[in-house]
Amino acid sequence: MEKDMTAITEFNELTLEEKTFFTVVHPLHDTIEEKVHTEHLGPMQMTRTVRICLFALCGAICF
Amino acid sequence: MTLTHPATENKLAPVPAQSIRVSDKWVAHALTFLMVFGPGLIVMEADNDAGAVSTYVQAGAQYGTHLLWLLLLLLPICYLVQEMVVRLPIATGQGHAAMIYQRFGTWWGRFSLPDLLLLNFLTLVTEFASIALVLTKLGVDPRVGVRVAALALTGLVLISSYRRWERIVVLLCLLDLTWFAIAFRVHVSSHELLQHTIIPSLPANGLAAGWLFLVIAIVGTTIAPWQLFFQQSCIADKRLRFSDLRWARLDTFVGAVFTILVAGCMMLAGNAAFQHRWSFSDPTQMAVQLGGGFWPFLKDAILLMMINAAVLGTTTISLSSAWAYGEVKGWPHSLEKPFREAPGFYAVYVLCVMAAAALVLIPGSPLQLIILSVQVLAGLMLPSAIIFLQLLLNDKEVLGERFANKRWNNIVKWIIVILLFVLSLLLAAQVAVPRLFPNS
Repeated sequence: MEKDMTAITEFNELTLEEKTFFTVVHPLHDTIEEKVHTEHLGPMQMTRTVRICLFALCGAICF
Repeated sequence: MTLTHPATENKLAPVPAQSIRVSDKWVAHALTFLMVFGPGLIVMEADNDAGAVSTYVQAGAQYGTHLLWLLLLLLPICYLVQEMVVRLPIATGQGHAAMIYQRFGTWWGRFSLPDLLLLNFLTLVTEFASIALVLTKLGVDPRVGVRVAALALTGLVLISSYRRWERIVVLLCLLDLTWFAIAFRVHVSSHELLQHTIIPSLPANGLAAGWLFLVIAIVGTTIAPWQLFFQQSCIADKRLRFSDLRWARLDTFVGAVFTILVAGCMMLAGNAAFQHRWSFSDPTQMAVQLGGGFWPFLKDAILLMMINAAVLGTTTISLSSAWAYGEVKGWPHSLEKPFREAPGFYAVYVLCVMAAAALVLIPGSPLQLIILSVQVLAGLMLPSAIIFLQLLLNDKEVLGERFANKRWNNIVKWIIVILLFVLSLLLAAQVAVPRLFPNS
């Protein structure tokens, strides 16, 4: 709550010019974004679709 | 973190030092797009490599403008396939090879990675073979020219950062605008052009196996396995953010349109040979005939564009191998890192380029066998790569609802996947066993 109030106060202190500016940052200059962590997930669930696809692939390789 | 954010957000979140402040929303959008722009155009245009030039020119020389409709049909297909590739690295920050190992296990990983590396290497050999062939026509000793090309391609990556490499390669892509001048010069009536682009037409003598396999070869040329691996790793290396997704999609769409237009121009160049009933065994011979028949500029322009196509293909395909191998091995694998911080990654790139160039310089290399192997392996590799991609895009554990395929585009993409699966296998079977389909 206190943090929100500080943010509102900071926003009110901005000049009109500052309020209407946009900042563009190159992806390589930006802070590194948190991505989806996949390491702990392990192998994909063997749903019917996955099974059929992998079976078709095996068939194609054997062919 | 968003790429464009009003000052209200800037005040609350730290703003990186190297940023640009603009007052107009549309200028901010345009600048954002320019910063994100690159991987989509590069992956698409690099696919118009030496082999593609040969296929498109041959299609034009055999069937005139009658196959232009196929390119129009391929535009949404190649965009929709590569669009899937865009979402995965933005969400996970990882490349395709790493995701296959993680989600499908070591067996499928070991099937995909060596296949990709072998296919990429053989394709590289064809790129250097094309460079050698063109240099011979230009009166340059290929033994010197191929060495210089290999060293330049190595230097391009070793002494560059990601951004410098990207700028140079985008510039090389834009050099392909020359194909528009070539197509304009060989002149085709706008009525014929429009008619054969919009209305599909079949050969006058009915459906022959030769025509069918040329159609399949064009599809196989336009969508190649390395592209799926390359763009995913490239986006991960460029560290595109969640908010960049729409711009990365636009980049891919622009790349797809540009590539299809350039491919159409290549077909129109081949159409000149069709109209004059010239016969040739490779596009360099056609370039020489065009130079004599129309305008000397055409010969040099086509030959130089062929070198450009091979150079673009070489740097992107080698990088796709280096990124994929680096990801799976867990090595540092970024163009932003200097050689001393990612020696394994750069070593794979250099090894691919140098070994392919060396193989071409060995007298009596089995180039014809290599070209056939590329087509067969691509036919085996594309179905697996594209099926893994489609399954990963349906993997809500990884992508959540936001990035996973939606119902409507899932149906469209399954149709594309099945179509490519069947066509790839048909092409591989036809190349491996030519007698399987008569009259081809």
